[in-house]
Amino acid sequence: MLVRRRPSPDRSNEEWLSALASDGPEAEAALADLRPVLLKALRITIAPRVDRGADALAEDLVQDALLHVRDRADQFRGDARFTTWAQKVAVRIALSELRRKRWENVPLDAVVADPPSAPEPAADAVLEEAETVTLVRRLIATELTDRQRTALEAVLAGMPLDEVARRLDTNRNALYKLLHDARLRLKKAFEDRGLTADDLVDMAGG
Amino acid sequence: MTLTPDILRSLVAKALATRPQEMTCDECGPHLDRFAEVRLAGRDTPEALSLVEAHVAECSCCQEEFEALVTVLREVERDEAPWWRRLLPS
Repeated sequence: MLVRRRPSPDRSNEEWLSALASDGPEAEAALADLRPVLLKALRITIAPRVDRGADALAEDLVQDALLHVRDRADQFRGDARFTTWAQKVAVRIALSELRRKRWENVPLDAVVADPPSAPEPAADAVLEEAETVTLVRRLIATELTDRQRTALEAVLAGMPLDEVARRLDTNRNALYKLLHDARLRLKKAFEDRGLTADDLVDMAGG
Repeated sequence: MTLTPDILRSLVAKALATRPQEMTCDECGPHLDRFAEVRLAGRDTPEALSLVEAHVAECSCCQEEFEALVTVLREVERDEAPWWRRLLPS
């Protein structure tokens, strides 16, 4: 049997924006058209990431996604389809919720290494493989602030930026800047000590 | 967590590739929809989106959101395609 599929609502970007900015039936109709679009995006995003309950979670989140889209429609830049932008909002809501649920019982100190003991000075000649590892660990301990080191190690352990940021009472954007600054500090430290891609090959072989 | 040699190798590679100026998550986010449409269309990344592409490569959260959005667009496009097109090899 041939199953008819409902296509995405056929509105131009301007028509979506105009309808959502209006009051009354026109806005209601636009939201009603948008609901299945967002619900589908939520289901597609959630289903492969949970063992069960994907449809129920998608239903739980769809109203939140609709409100986000309606309230932030003025942030749409207009260089993509409006539905793509709205789907992006839904995807982000879904993934943020999944990250929160997955990591909610994991404290930061469970994924961050203990501070290293007094580091040994590194050899200044050609470094052996193990010495290179020791050097990198020492530079992480000495070149970064405690906050940078904590954030970096949590991210290296696989904790999402959203969740690291929540635990450090900041936001994802500020955390990214913190990590960028940490990488720049380490880059300078590596370059100052002549740590190059060749040393990385040595480490890969070890 | 133990900083294993593999993790450290990845960190060193990323640190050495760090550019002085990088797009942040807030700066990248508004472009992800356009970038996803470009990727879906199979086109090369235009110069205007090169910083977006670089950020997505570095930030695991933005990368996950970008890839999930591309998956959504791909599945919606497939579902809405005429029946005969779905029979063609992708």
